[in-house]
Amino acid sequence: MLQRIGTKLYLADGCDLDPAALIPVMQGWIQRRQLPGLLIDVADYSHAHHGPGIMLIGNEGDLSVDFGEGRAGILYVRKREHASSLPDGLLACVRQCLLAAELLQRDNSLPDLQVDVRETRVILSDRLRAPNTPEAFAALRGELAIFAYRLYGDASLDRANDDPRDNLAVTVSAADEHNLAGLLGRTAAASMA
Amino acid sequence: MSESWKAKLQDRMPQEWSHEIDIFEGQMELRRQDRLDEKVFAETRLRRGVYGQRYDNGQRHDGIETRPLEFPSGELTKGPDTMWDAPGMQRIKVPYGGLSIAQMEALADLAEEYSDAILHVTTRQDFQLHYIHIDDTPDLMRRLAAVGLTTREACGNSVRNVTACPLAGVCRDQTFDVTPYSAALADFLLGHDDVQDFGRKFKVAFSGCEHHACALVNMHDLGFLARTRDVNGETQRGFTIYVGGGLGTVPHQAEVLEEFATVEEILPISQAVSRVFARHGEKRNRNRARVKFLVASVGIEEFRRLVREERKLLPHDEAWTDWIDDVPVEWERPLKAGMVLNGAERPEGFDDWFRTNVYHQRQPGYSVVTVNLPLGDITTWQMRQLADIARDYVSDNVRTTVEQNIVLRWVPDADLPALYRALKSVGLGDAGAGTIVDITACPGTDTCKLGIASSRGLAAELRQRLAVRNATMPDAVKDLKIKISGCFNSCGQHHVADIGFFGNSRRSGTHKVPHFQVVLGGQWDENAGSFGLAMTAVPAKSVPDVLDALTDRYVAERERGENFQSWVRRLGRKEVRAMFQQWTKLPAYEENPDLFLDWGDSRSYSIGDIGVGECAGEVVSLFSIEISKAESEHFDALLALDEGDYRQAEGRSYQAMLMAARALVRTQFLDVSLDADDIVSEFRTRFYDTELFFDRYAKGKFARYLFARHTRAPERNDQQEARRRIEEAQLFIEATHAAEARVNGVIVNPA
Ligand code: SF4
Repeated sequence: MLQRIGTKLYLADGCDLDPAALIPVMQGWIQRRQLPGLLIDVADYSHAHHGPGIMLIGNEGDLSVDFGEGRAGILYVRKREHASSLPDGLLACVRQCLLAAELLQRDNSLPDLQVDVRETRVILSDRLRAPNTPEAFAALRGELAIFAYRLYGDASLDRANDDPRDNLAVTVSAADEHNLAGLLGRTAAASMA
Repeated sequence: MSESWKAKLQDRMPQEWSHEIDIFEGQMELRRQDRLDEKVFAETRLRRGVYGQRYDNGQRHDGIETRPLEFPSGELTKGPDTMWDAPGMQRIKVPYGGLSIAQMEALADLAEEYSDAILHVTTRQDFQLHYIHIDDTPDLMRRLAAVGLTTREACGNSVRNVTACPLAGVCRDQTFDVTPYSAALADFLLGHDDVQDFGRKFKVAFSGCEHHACALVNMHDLGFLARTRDVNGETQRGFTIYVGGGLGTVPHQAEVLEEFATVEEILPISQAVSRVFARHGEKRNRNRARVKFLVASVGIEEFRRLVREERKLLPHDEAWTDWIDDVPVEWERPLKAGMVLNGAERPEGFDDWFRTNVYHQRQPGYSVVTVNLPLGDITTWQMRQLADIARDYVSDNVRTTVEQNIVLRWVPDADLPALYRALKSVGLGDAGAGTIVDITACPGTDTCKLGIASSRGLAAELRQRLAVRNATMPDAVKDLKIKISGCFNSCGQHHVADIGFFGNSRRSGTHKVPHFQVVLGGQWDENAGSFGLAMTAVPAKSVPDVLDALTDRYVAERERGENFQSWVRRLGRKEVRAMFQQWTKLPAYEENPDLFLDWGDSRSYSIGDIGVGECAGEVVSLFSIEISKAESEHFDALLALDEGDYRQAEGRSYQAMLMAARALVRTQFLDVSLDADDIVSEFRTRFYDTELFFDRYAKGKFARYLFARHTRAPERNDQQEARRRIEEAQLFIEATHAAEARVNGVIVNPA
């Protein structure tokens, strides 16, 4: 079991997003318990350059509209005990991103926001068991491929960067077209448990 | 692949530190099995820097109602009223702010794997990581230990991080480099037997000179100011030692314990001070347990006598001096040769940045560069990029500052344009370090359990607005300092800013309104030479307008060469208050609902999960009228202080407390007389004995200010005493507001 695992779906190019507008949206999710899991608070890091933006802190994981790598996206990082296998855990993460994407796209206060679901970044944050090395990537590739297949069907996997200090991050790109509703269907069986 | 961090790092951790972390992990297990009392575990945890965070009591007001947070570990607690699973804060000590590249990279890893990918620099040169699960803390500590960092005694009733000027060693005005001495004392006191039995925390600082602010020795429990003297033609190094300073709810200026102590004596004297504090300091009432209260109660002469007696009795310890011969001539070595900044091309924005963020070292050809961190935050990615930049330009010559920034030292001047480009490319090239845009703020309601208003929300808003106007702002305004605390506890150091704010709240009809008390005229220079005083409270959402009015008027009316403190003094409190008058009258909720929200928060404002109920209050209650009289009396006390009439200032502050107490009593018993004994007695019976006056954290602390003053008038009537009494009265009035809102103010929440 890895320390932290996460997935990020990117916002479509050209989305003009005011991070401050996300604060009431996420606080509303807490009030209405609109995402699975125990939701605790909203943290505003919009002042940080390429930072975690606005973050919904939870018990099992944190969901943020994140600006890391200079690309805005919906990031979910699972931080407590997660599903028994890595593919299951990642599917649960990506489902959380998809549910958030659906809520954000529906929100009238964020008319421009669109999520591009054809690419998913997988983040494995555990320098003990999964350092950002070619060897660790090779060792985990099989499990990552299972995740990719269950999410997209045909997909390619690429190690996102080779700085050994960074998290092991993998870009999963779908070979075919996908949409939000379709991916919600494909991940319906994934659970937070 | 190693199975655990413990196994992997076993040989890289100091053995003693490793053993202590194992013990802590064992205590965690005992607590899980309920074989260790939660109170004992709480103090153990704090002494490992593992701190609570807002909502860790398992409930949160979500803007509609207070809801339980049902953590999976159920009833298991990590301290009284503190749920095991609740996210917490981990504080990491960085003695004198000194950081190596390896430490920067380790911190980034930890923030990513255990926290929220943000590293926060505190006003004591520490780092804080938020939203940490306690189960992750032993490995986090091991990974820190492997790079020479500890969390030991970062919180709890012991010696906190030892701070020092971030310019120590390279400062043009220093007497000598205080770094080795601060490092030696931090090392000596860490885990020392004589610092384990304090009633409260103990803060130590070192400064290389008297007139700048970098280390703020005047506001520390124990402060060291570098001095030299001539002994038989030889220059001898030593320190003036200060004791008993502190901010907190009631600020105290430190007093001189020893005019000159040789470097050989600083460790034993500190040990003696620790013993005196442990033996004579208050233990039961934590609100009076800082060393400043002990010094104030016994007097500095007696305190000095006790310390000197203790010093004589201390058994000799080699550790007092065995480090001195190893103190190098230069603590740090530059990575590169110093070179002047010649005609190299200057990138866009460089000149502004150069003006505010670059300090020329005493060593020709070198500069210190300040990396200006918004709200003290740096992302993990930025930290790694900064580590790379340090690797290229300065190596391990990096320090954190008490203004929540990071400095790179020993930058060859010729490298400044390239360094600026590198910083800019990773979002760390903001100009304005040390100016009005470089606002200090404590965590406030974002994560602190005691926060009343959003200090970070306000700081972010002000920073954004001021940055837009920065280019056109007059220098007199640019040079001002703003510091913000989320409550009266002063972690944002609002007392020592030109313009300080601390969070409080007011009630308007049936709604609470987040406010900030405006504190003007504090002095950052002269090692925090004087403290500002509260003017009036304004709604949080009005603060930007208040600030504009204040700075515009300062620019328009200041005389040649007049600084902000002098201008505020000349203007006088009455006039300042009159200027703020338009913001102190609260409208009805329906007229301006936005005013009833805090910065960066869309929830209806609440400070303590106040229950929903029916509206029983008038628009302007009797209490509101009477408490305003107490506030006005308090204001007169401030005026008397300004005029140097300390006796009257003290008397009026006492009167203000009586009036506030009477205002509260009259919400239950209209016929209370004007006699002071009656007021105090009714107040005690109705609000103190019943604990209705108690708030969750301060309990009855502020009421005891009234009781103490009522029992005995002060023996001295000097400025310091009058100031203290005025501060106490201010806090008593604030607490009265809060108690009235709790008891009588039936707060409803807007739909
Ligand atoms: S000043 Fe108050 S709100 Fe700010 S960190 Fe200190 S206790 Fe918390």
